[in-house]
Amino acid sequence: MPNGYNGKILIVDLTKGKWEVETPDEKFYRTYMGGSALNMYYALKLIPKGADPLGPDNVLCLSTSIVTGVPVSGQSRMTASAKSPMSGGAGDSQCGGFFPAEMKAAGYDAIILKGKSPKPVYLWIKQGEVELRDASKLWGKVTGDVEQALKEELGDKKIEIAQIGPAGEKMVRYAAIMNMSNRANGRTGMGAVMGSKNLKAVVVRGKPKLKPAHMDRIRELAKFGATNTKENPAVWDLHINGTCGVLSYQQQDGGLPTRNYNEGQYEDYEKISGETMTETILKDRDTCYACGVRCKRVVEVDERGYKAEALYGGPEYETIATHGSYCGIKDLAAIAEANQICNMYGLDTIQTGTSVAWAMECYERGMLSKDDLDGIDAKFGNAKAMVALVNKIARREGIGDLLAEGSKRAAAKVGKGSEDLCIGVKGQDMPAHMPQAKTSLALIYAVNAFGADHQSSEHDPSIDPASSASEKQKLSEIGLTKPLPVKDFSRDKVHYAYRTQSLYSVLDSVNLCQFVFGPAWQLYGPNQIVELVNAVTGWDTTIDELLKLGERRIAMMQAFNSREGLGHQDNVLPKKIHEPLKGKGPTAGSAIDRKVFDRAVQDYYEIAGWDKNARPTHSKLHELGVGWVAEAIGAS
Amino acid sequence: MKIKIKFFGSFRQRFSREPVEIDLPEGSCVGDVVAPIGERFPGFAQLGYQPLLAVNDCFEKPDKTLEDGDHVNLFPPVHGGATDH
Ligand code: SF4
Repeated sequence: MPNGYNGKILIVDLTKGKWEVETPDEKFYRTYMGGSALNMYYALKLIPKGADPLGPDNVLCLSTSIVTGVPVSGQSRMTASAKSPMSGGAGDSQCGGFFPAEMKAAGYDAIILKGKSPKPVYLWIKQGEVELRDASKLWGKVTGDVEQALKEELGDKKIEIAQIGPAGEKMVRYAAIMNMSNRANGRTGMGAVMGSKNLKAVVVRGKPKLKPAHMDRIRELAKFGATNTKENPAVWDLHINGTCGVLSYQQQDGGLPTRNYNEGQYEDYEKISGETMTETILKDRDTCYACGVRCKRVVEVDERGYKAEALYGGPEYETIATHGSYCGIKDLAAIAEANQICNMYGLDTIQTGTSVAWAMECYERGMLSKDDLDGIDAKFGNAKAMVALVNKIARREGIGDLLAEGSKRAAAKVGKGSEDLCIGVKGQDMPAHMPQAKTSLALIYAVNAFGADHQSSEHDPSIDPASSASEKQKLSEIGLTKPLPVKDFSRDKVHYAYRTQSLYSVLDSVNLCQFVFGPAWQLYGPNQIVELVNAVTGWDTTIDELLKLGERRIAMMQAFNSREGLGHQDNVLPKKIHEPLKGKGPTAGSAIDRKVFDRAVQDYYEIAGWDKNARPTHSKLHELGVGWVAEAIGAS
Repeated sequence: MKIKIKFFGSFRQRFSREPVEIDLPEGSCVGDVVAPIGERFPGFAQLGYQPLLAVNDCFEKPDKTLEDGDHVNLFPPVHGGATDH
């Protein structure tokens, strides 16, 4: 048996109710390693060009990696990929929790789901044994109820579940795959793809049996993590206040999106901050398998008609911002309930909140009337209206049916200039890190294959001259030694963005948590990622080899997009980003200059090896060892 | 002049949940709050890193001049943490 991985990939044909097991060789694992890169291999091979993202030809790929399940913080991640119903290009989303480690212990490194089951089913994998079981009784149930029902049906409280809620069944375009009831593969609509296949859940149970090559070296890494978690201020803050700890920081930076991205500061930010959550509704801190950071929140709310139970976890920063400042809402209890609805019904909290914020701005500007909104007075700041709209989206009810398509498609129907109020790239709305405050995000939001994403590169402050010595040290391990101010947007900054994007792309393929491993402020730096991979597999990889893996995954996703007709015309920012930001604070009046942005995009294409239409070139794909992709897409 | 100091992030648990007020001579800069806060909260003087400083909800460099009644927010370097202000 190889060190670190099962060497088995389960391919399930849901139409026929049959499955087979592929056993790729070591070269395959060393080339793709897992997660997103491995998924893109199958997506490019198995999804026919032009496939309907919500039709049976789409293929949903769920992958762990070569390191999943070893006892080190931040390694229990699973990547879901398919053709995205949001963008029509590559879909890609990660989750943590305990499911990934359990899935690998159940005997498969990846699960590839083809076709469409004639009736609702769930996939049950127990120590390598596979079964498709009837899910008719589970269909229509919310995640917490399904979790309970499956534990009873299978007589095992320790099962781990990746499931869709009713939103996925109804193919809300940005439905999530929920991991148990409180974590999600949130972005790019992977839950809608799962729903289109009549697949309610993937349930796993295993026994860890994989032997890493060098357990002593893994123990050393774990020891380093245990000693340094509290010493690293950024990581310790994640423990204390969760991801929401960053909300107050964003405010001082003028980077807290407010009222549908019209402003960069929210006057009531302290009412919804991480500090306030810790002091009020926080009941517990939760974690992912073997992680000592414990950044996950557990909240309880029962006040003024708002409710949230511990079973559904607690809101992340993105959830609080999109349902809070984006909507001008200062009520943490209402936001906690909105988070719970998203987790019960299985929705991407980011896209849910941004869709509501878009509707609110349309309402304020008279593009949507109260009648259009089923009588809801959707003014910015109306917390009850926000929760009501989230409920309607979750059920595709009334106006929720339109908003369930995402703001881009909704705007195409509404017209009246509402298109200009959208804040998306490739149909996926921008998360709560503003390009006006962190310049290189303007570029990465635009060129990223699956739309605007804040977890695809390192943000600008880490390369600023004022960054800490430890950030500088980690960045130097990937060759980034020249400090660049936050607002710099030179070719050097483009290089920084691509280089760190390549490292984040490694993280999404080796499937590592980006709060624990990374190129700058995280607990472990690039050289320790190399050490982890080698300690688990017994290989002799280097940072250069890993960065090539990162580039390979970026190029494969972009090749997929090119094949599906997405190109340069899609690598653009919403109009708002090029117009002066309103409101107060350090970013008021700032905008991303179009000419500077256009030049940065061209620089990026050159550095990444893409042609003018954003197609990875033949020579780049060959250089990355995936010449077969060039042939498949007819690269120039 | 009177300056109101608020702690953010993990500083709040470690130093004070409530804002504190300090007296500084006219013409002081925001960087000048570090020493008196360090005297009041010894752990603050022993941080192994520079805290981030914000004045009236905007990050500033330490040489930013303060005015009477300003609010200074103190942060550990969360998620990166440098600013160009
Ligand atoms: S840092 Fe948070 S999200 Fe990452 S592995 Fe640890 S608990 Fe999970």
